[in-house]
This record gives sequence, structure tokens and C-alpha cells, in this order.
Amino acid sequence: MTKKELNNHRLFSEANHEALHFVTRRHFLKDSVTGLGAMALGSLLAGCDWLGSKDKSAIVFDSANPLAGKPPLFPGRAKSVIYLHMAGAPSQLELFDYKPDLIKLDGQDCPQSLLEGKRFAFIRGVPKMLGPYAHFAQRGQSGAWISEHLPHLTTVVDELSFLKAVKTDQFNHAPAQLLMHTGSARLGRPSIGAWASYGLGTENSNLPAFVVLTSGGRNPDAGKSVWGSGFLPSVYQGVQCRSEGDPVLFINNPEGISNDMRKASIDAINEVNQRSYKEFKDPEILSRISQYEMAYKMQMSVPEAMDISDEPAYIHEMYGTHPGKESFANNALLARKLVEKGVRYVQLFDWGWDSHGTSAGDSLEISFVNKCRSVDRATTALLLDLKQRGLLDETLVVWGGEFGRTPMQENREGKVQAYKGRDHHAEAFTIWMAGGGIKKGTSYGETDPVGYSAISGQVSPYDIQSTILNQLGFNHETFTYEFQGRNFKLTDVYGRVINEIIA
Amino acid sequence: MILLSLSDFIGRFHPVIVHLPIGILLLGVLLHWLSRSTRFGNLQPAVRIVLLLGAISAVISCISGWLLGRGGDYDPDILNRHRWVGIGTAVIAILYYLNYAKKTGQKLPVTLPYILSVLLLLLITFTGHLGGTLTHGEGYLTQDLFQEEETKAIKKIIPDVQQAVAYSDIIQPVLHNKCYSCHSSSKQKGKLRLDTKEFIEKGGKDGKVLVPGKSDESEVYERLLLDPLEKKHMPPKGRPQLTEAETNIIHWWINAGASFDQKVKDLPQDEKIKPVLLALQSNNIAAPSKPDVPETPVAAASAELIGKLKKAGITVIPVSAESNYLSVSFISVPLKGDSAVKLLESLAPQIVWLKLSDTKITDAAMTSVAKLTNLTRLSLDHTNITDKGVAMLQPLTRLQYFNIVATEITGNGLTALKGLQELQTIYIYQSGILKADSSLLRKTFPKAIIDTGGYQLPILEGDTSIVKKKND
Repeated sequence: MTKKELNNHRLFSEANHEALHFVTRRHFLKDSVTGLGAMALGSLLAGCDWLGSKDKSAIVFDSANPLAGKPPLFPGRAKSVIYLHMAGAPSQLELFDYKPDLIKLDGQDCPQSLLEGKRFAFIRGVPKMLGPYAHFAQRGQSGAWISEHLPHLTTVVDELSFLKAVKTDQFNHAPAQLLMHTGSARLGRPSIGAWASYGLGTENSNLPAFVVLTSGGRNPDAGKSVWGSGFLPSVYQGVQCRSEGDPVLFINNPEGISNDMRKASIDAINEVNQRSYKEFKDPEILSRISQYEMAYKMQMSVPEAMDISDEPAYIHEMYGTHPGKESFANNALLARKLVEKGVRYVQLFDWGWDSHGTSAGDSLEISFVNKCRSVDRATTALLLDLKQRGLLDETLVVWGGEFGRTPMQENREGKVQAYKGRDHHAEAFTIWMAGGGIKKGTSYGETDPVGYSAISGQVSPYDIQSTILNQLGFNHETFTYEFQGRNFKLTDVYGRVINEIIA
Repeated sequence: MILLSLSDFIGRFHPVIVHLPIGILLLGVLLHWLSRSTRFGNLQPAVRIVLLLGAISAVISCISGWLLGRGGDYDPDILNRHRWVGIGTAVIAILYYLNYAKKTGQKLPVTLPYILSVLLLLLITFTGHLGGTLTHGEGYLTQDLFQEEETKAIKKIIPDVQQAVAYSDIIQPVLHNKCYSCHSSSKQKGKLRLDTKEFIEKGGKDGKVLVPGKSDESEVYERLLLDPLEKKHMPPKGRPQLTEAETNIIHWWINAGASFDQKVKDLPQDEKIKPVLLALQSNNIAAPSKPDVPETPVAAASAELIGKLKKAGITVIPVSAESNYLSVSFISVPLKGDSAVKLLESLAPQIVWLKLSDTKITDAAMTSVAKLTNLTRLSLDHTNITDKGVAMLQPLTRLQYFNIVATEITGNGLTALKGLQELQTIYIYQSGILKADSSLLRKTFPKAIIDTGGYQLPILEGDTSIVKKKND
């Protein structure tokens, strides 16, 4: 200790001594008595069902084994979820929401009634109406309208349940994506996948419970928060895996380190951690130990589960996959493999659906058609592959974007655009679900003759979240996590299970 | 505001006022008994006043109750009993007071006040119970103790919706589930009953509720459409609401003439109602008509046994937080074989879902699986199980889901399970079952969906090419 430090030390202890002079015996007795009283009251209150806060079915967070399999509130119809998010928001008017009246209005000025009091991301002044750039036909026994852009999907429409009048309240990508996946347009809430893995844990102790796969060359606008764990323990966040190269960075042992050596070093670290647990009894240390062990197990199993090259050729042909490339098709096949291996929630994001029509790269005529082609075959193959393996029965598949697109041609900066394109539209869009106890070949909700807003069966992102939780076996109103003194829910005070599409 | 009926208004106070005599008279009896002992002798003067107040409030309760009862929204039988027992209570209360206050003049036995007090207690209890039954419905008191069969939602199984009788198969179940709690034998809010044709046609306090062919004049439909926050909206706030499909069906039924005996096929159907009706059909729904978890509860499996399985790496999870039935999966331990499956035998009553997919098990393990007779879902895909193993599974009579994808099981082998009546879906992709077996299997399992898999997608031009230019 230098002289200066020694002086500081002396000063500090002297100050402490002085301060203690002000604490008299009376203080001690008073504090003791009130403290005892408070403790007694606390234990008394804990004994009774204080305001009903002690829910019998509350999920216990076991920090030593946070991903252990847990039962849902009631037997769920779905054991896993695959959520296919078309980031950028695909146009419902070119895919599922057939509006013949809009063809007749093509090129005419948009009526004022549709513009008054509305805000758009890019449309200014009075835009022109834009007829659907697609031919539609009714398909399957259910007679669902679906466009030529998805020729493969038309063959499986009888497996799907369409929600044709989804309404969100965000018209920018990032907040709308957050709302769709975390129940709040602002940052900080856990995503549905995190809730699902918090509630159910993982069936396969060698794999994460919640895996995220992205394609389209970009992560979704809202960034990693759309699969974040928010205020839930961070172990529940989505694990983003890459579809080319190592699925998880640094998953392979560095050169010169064998598996045995890795195991020996993890054992040594755990031994040290065990000792400090014995000394301090901090449960977080147990959590650390279990995570080391989990990481080691995953090092073994993740590369295997994430490798699609060992799939037979006919499966590759079915999905249209090319191993080693980043593509939606590869991710779709991976999603099937992961669900087969017991992963609870697989979240796919495919970027590039933002068809504004400002250039060929975001036009309805070119890039949108190509996007459709890149997902159509793989999506259909995923549904059929799950079905033939007996997995569609217990896997809920959800397909959709974060909002819809306007029935009007976009006129960014008041100019006439060279390509067909539509602006962001929050009032009405289409999402479909399949498998996992969802009705087959139905459609719920209806939009007005130009597809601007819902006229019946309107549902919100909260309703979709409630429905997903319901299929997993949770009641969105009782599935809570206590944080900052209150019980948080994924759907806040909103949400209604869409029973109309549940089998 | 116009004063319509003061007496009805006073009647509305009955539910509040009744609590006065209950409380005061109970207090009176208590004080009366306590004041016998010398310790509480000083309470004696209070007894008289309390009993007088009790008797007066009992009379007021009777009057207000009488006025409320004239409204007639209640079950007449129970109302009648409640009315007369209530009046009896008031009479006894008065006699009790008079007797206690020695105003009766004659010499009466000293025990009489005590007899009266016990009688009064009994009457108060009985009247109170009847009153509770009137407001909350029959069986309210004990509904948490016993499961009541009647209030359970009913769901009709409709194999072909066109052959179904519109009223009894489709409309009545909706009324039963959403309306009967207030509009049937136990309660008749607004003097309306909806449980038979005659009652529905008769209508309620304000007249007819059903005008065949005119849904917009039929109160029974119009009330459903009101703003849910409005007082006249039905079902009232907080009660289970009708789904949109149910509302649409009632609209259709009324407009189609509100027939009580015609079949769906004899009624006009427009394009809008067809899918709604079709959705009611049970075979249109992939859902098992039976739940895949037994309804009868089972005793919890011992934690020690479950711990043993978990230690072996086997995933054991209850199917739900409140159920003791278990879902078991070998997904984390693909290398486990027959000896691990043997461990399951001790949990035979509890295991309902079992996943042995992609494990090293052999036919020998099926002797253990065959003992799990509560199984509803069984996955044996990607294993070496053969026909020999399948033949052992005959005791699994509750099996609904059976997955033998990528096994060597043949069509003939599968027919050994002919006796499994509950089987709903069988997945046989990449198994030893040939196309030629399909008619045999359809005959063996007429009720089950057999998924052969092997789906192929044609190669379309768009799969391999991209659009580069606008084509006008």
C-alpha cells in the first residue's frame, strides 16, 4: 500500500467510526422491533394466497436447468412452431386477397374517403389505384383464391387456414416486426419463441429450444430484438444459426484442441464453479455450470442437426435446396430437421418483400415474382414433408409478413414510378397457418372490395400470438412472467384466441 | 325521467335489505344466549332492541321481496317457497321479540324463547339459501364440490352437415352452450325460455323474439349484434360470447324460415353460409374426435421412477401442468435400446404419448411398449421395428396416432392391428408397405387416414429461372 492509499484507508475507517456514534442503542432496538414485525408479517402474508398471486400453475424458473422440459397449462395441439416471416411485407393483393373490383379501378384516382385522416409511409397526395398484378383462380376443395405467383402452394391450399383481415397498428418495418413477434412495437419485450421456450423448455436436451434462421441477404429491420428474450432470462433468446459455413460461429474446436481436451477443460471449469457454489450458494453459478455443459453437448449435436448435405437427393429436389448456399429453401429444410429433433420454435426470416416499385429491385413485376419463386417450392415442400413424416399434426406453421400493402400505387415524392409497387399498409393483410391443430382449408375474415380494410373477422397481432400460445397449450391471459413488480404477458391486455380456425 | 313504477323500484332493494334481518337477528340470538351467563349479563338490555330491529327489518324485507317477486323473472317454484318461508321467518322473529319482551301477557314456558331462537336460525338459513338459489341459479352453492353434467358445453358430431337437422343439430347446441344458463328451466331472465320450440315461439317479457324469415326483426338475433358494452347485448358482458360463425348460422337459420324440423339440405343456402356450415362437419376437421389424453384422471407416477428415466436422458414431461399423464420421448438419446424401453413399464398407467423415433430399439422392445395400454400416440419411425414387433402391439386399444415412417413394416404386418378401433392416422411413408396394399389397408382401417407420403412437386419453369425484365 502506498502512503496515499494508507491515508485514504485511515480516513475512511475514521469516518465510519464517527458515523457509528450517531447510532444509539435506541436505534438498534427500534430497528430490531420493526424489522421483526415486518418479517413476521411477511411470513404471515406468504402463508395466505395473497391477492391470488400464487398461481398453482406458475412456471418455476430453475436456474440450474432452465431448458428442462416443462408441461404446458393444458395439453397442447402443437409441440413445435415454425414461423415463416416474409420480412418486408409481401403484397396480399398479389397473393391471396383476390379483388376483382380493384382491376376495374386500376389507374383511377384513389377516393378521398380512403385517404382522409390516414398516414402512409411514402404515399403523398392522391395516389392512383393499382389493380392486382397477378391472375387468380380458386383452388382445392376449399375453393381458396390464390394467385399464379405461388403455383406449388396452390396444390396444398386445403391444408391451410387463411386469416384475411389481419390489422396491425404499425406501418414501419421494425416496429411492425417487433409487434408481430414480441407483442409490443417498442424494444424490450420477449419474443414468442422466447416465451415458448420459457414455458415448455426443450424436448431435446442437446439442442436449443428456439432457433432463428435468416435468408434474403439481410437480417430483419428490427434486428436481433425480434428473437430476443427481453426481460426473460437470456437463456430463452433465439439462437441464430447460419445456413452457410459453421451454423454457429466458433462452434468447432480450434486447431490442436481435441474433443477430449475440450471436455476436460469444461470439467475443470465446472469443478472450480462447483467449489465456489459450495462457498457462496449463489444459484447463478449452477446456471453457469449447466450452460457450459449444454454448450458442450450442443457442440456435438448442432453441427449434425444443421447439416442438410446428408439428406437424400429426392428431398433436395423437393425443397429445391443447394447445400452450402444461404437460401430460404435451405432454411425450410433445416426447419423440418430441427422440428424433427425436438426444437420448440423455429423462426425463419426471409428478407426482400418490400415491393415499393421504385426500381426493378423492389417492383411487383420483377423482384416480387422472384421472391415468390424462391419461397413457393420450399414452403410447399416443407408442409408436405412435415405431413408425410407425421409431424404436421403436431407442428404449427405460420406464414406472413409484418403488415400488408396498399391497394394504391405508391407515388413516392409525388412522382409517377416506373414500376408497379405498393406502399406499407397496416389496415388489412393476409396470414396463413397450417398444422398443429388448425383447421384445414378454411378462411376467416374478409376485406372490402378493394382490400383496403377489414369488413369482418378482423384479427390483430395479439390474436395471432394468443392463438399460437393456445396451440402450444397456454392461455395467453395466465401465461405470465413477473418483472419489475408486475406480471407481464406476451399479449399485454389484448388478444383473443381465433377459435374460428382451430380444429 | 318518468316515474314508471315505484313499487318495482323498491323491489330492486330487496337483495340489499335482506342482509339486515339476517345480520341483526343472528346478532340478537347470539346476544340472547350470551346474556344468560353472568359474565355477559350486562348485555341483556341490548337483546330487546336488537330483536325489535331485526323483526322490523324482516318485515321490510318481506315487503320489498314481494314487490320484486311480482317481476316474475324467477323460477316460480323456488320463488314461492322462498316467499312463504321468508314470511314465516318474519312472523317467528316478531313472536320471538314479543315473547322475549314479555309482551304476550300470558305465562309461557321459560324455554319458549330458546325454542323460537333455534327455529329462527333454521328459517333464516333456509330462506337465505332459497334466495341465493334464485339469484345465482340452482346448484351454485355446491358447484365447486360436484361436477355438474348439465352445464357442460355440448358438441354434436355431424358427419354430414347437409343431412343434419338444422335446429336440433346446429342451432340448439349453440343455444344450449351460450343461452340456457339464463333462459331455460333454471332461470328465465326477461321471462324468456329458449329450451323448447314452444318457449322460443312464445317469446319473453317484451313479446316475440323470433320472426321466421326476418332476422332483422328477431330480437334473438338482433341482440347478438349490439355493441358488447351495451346493456341489451346478449350474451351479457362477462359471459361466453357467440363466435362469428355461430352468429352467422343463427342469421341464416332465421332467414331460412326458422324451421324446427327441416334438414339443412332442404333449406336455402347462399355462398356465404356454405363454408360456415361445412366447417361444422366433423370429418372436415383433422382434429381427433376423441382427445388424445384420457378424460379420467390417473394417479401421479412416483417421482423416483420419473427421476430414473430422466437420469437415463429420456425426456419425460406431463402432458399438462394439471395432468399426471406423461409424454415420453427418446429424442435426446438416439443410441438407447430395448433395455431403456423396459424402464417405461413401471409408468404404464401414465404414459399416453411415446416417441421412440430414430432409436436403436428392436422388436424385443415392443413387449414393453405393448404394456403401455393407455398410449394414444406412438412414433416408431426410423427404427428397425418389423412386422413381428407390430404384431405385439394389439393391446394398445387406445392408439390414435401411429407413425411407422421409414421402417420395414409391411402391409400384412400392419393388418395385425385391425382391432385398434381408435386409430385415426397412420403414417407409412418409406415403410415396407407397397402401393398394392392400399385397398387392403383401407378395408382393415376404414376409419383411419393413412398417409402414404412420397409427395412430389413437379419442376416448374419458375423454380429454376428468374424474371429479369418487365413483360407487358
